[in-house]
Amino acid sequence: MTTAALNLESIDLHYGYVKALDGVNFKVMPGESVALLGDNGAGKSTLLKVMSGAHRPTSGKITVHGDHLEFHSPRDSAAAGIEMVYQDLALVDAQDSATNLLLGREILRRGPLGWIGFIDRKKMVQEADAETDRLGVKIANLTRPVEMLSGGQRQGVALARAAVRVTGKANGILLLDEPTAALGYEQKVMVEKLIQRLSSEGIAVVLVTHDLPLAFNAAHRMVVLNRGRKVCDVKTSDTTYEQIVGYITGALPAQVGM
Amino acid sequence: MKKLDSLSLLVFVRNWGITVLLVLLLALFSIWAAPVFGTLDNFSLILGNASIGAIFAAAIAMGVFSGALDLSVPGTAAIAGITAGLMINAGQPVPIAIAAALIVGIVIGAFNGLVSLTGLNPLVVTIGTLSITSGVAAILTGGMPLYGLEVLAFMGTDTYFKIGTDGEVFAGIPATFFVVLIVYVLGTIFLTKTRGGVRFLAAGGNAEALRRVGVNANLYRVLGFVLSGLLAALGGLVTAAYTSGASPAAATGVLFDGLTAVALSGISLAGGRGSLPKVLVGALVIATIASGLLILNIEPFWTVAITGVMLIAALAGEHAIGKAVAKKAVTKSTVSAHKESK
Amino acid sequence: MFAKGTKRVLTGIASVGLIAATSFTSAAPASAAGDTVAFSPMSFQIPALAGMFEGFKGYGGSQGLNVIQAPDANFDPTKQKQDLESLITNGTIKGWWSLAAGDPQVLKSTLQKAQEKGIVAVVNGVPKDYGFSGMQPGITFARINYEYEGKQMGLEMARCMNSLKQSSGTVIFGANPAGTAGKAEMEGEFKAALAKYAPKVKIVRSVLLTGDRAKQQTAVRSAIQASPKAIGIVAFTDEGALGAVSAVKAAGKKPANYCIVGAGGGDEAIAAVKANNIHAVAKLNFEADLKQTVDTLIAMIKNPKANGKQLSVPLTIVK
Repeated sequence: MTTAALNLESIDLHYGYVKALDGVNFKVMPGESVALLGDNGAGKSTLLKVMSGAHRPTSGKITVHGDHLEFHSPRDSAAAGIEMVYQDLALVDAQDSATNLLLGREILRRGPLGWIGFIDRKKMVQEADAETDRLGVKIANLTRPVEMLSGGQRQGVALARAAVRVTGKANGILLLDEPTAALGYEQKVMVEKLIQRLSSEGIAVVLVTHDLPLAFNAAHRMVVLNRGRKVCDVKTSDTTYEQIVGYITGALPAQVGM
Repeated sequence: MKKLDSLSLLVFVRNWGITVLLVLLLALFSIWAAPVFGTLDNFSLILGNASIGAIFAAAIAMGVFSGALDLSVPGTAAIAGITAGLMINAGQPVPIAIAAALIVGIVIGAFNGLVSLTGLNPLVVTIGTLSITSGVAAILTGGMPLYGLEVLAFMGTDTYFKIGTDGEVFAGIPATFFVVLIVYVLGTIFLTKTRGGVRFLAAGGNAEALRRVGVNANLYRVLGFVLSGLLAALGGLVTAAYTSGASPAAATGVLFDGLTAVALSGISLAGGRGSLPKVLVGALVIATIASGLLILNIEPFWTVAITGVMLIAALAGEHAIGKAVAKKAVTKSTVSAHKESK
Repeated sequence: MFAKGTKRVLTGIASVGLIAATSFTSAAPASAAGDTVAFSPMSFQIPALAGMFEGFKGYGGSQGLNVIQAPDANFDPTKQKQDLESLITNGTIKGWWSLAAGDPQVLKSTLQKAQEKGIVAVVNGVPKDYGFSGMQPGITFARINYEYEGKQMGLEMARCMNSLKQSSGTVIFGANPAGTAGKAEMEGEFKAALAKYAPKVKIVRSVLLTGDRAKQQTAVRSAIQASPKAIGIVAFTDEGALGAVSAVKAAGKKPANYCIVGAGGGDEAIAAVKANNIHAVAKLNFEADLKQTVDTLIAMIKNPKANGKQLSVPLTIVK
């Protein structure tokens, strides 16, 4: 059996008396995409933040590709190969998509100009074009400031930025927080296809979402949280909409052995 | 498809509005305030008058671009001018004195930056620095201004490339404007063509974005203060050259003028976006209006009032255009099943 | 409120304070039975006024006075009033010298209390400011005689223009910002004197001189360029006059060929007069003012029932 890309065991997270997470076990294999579902306040965003290093669990163990790690900040998780796309996207509005995509990886000119930091814009646009092509993400105009793009296209830029960084590392892990909120149909299809493509390249994807159709189309497995506890962990092919909704609302009791 | 649609028009206004305004003002005053206004002499004077303000505007702009408002600029300018003045009066060679003044600016900037990193509000930090630098400057000179710095005239009151006749030496490019050109050209190249510049602007626009991609955003925030301090020191030097003297009193008026020029050029004071050339145009607009009204012998109060009105109009306009652009652009750009032509 | 234009007053005071403090503190020590007087400026936070206190203490001490600091009013007229009245009630002081922290009217009742107890005072301004209609026993008023200052400056400008054979020449008038103390008096008297002694000289352009030295220099330079034939330039501050000198030089002309008249009298301006760059500067003589204040206090303490005087800060024209 291959090692899990990311394995969370017995994660507890207390805020004072409130138990945001209670003994949650969560695992995702390389090349697998898992949907993390639950109603508001169920703890799915919190669990995602534990994975990204933004929150430290009160107790529990985190293992990345077999290595037991402790995350003190998002920097640590990034160093471990985990990329997260937050709902706020964190794009630089005034700059264009090419610049945003290649932020931190800017392409310098050859020769002495490059030594003092001059950028080769033409090459950057070409590279950005190639990368978005490879990912199947469509962005209309790479040289237009991202503030002029629609919500869906901005989402595309943020996803592509993370996806490129995560494919750069061997067996990276991508965490997505509500990637299709406020997206139109065509853009949702784009996100689905992106997730599928990444999975096929061996990236592990964890997808927090309210969007059940997206989950069913893009995820291999589904995990449902209810009030901080895991109540369901099934292969997508083994379950139905009604069942999942039942677990989310609590109509169905928790599965055994969660 | 129409070439000139409303979106392009709005973007044009946003990018070129301030320049169009300058051209219109120059034309207007050339007619209205003839014959004195529309002469080479007068244009040369306007360039000179705008220079000191333009340097301080650049200092403030650099801070704003990277997301910080540096209110200590007048104090840094004063102490830099005093440093150079004291050294020159003590017999030090001019280049050394200038270098020392600039280093003082860099150090103060670094101090501002590092203290801000501890989480204190940069506004408060820079106000504190302003007090400290003013106090130190006063102590260094016993509260009295220095004078006798004519040796700095080469970067102050001198003009180059004179093309006048009969000993009229107004025409020509004032030395101070050369300093302005150097600052703005280097600054613009840095911001638009280098990796450092891109990240610098990103730090002001969305520092979180830099952190997400593993770049040290704090480095660029400190750099913003350092550049602001350096340019403030340069402004102090040029002021000393212009007046052949240095005063320990911080001229807080430069903050107002600088912020006006920056806001007039349509640059968001929230940071992250910026065009230095537009700031220069903004400074020129202010100087043009002042010159025109003075020649027309209009009550000086009007200059202040008109500048204030224009400032509000510019802020409102920038806001409105920004919203309109975003709305129109978003409705235009939709992802379709086929790739749009770029 | 602290009027503008007091800035040049303060610069003058600062230098005087430093000089007086050093020269007089080494003089004869105060006698054991020295009369105590207090100094109550609008704020001790202003370095110039703190320096003035040192000067007062020094010179006053050399003349047998024990000078103390009143509690710092820090621009609060009510506090100044209460503090002075405590000193009066306690009988701690025989007299005081005050610069009103706010509306001088506030101190009217304080002065009346002082009069009842035979305590004397030198206060800034004129009787009307404090609600009095004429001279008062035991109170001396001290003011800057703006009318006289303006008149002298106008006279000097006329002299200079005539001596340069510019009796029909033109003058650039550097105005003070609105709200500057004494603006109306100084500027009005200047124009009147100029009109009287050089009737054919015209003021061709008026510029507002405000802000720092560089700004004032720029304003003068623009005015010169807009009225290139003007020969006279008048400013009511040192910065303005010195800015005019720099502006003339920057235009490639010689200041000696101009009639630049200023007011203030700081070191740099005096040096410019000696170098023949500025024709004349109206200098307020704060050293003499300090001396006359101390002498007046001593005289009044000896005879508190006699009416006080209206003093002016002595003015010299340096040329």
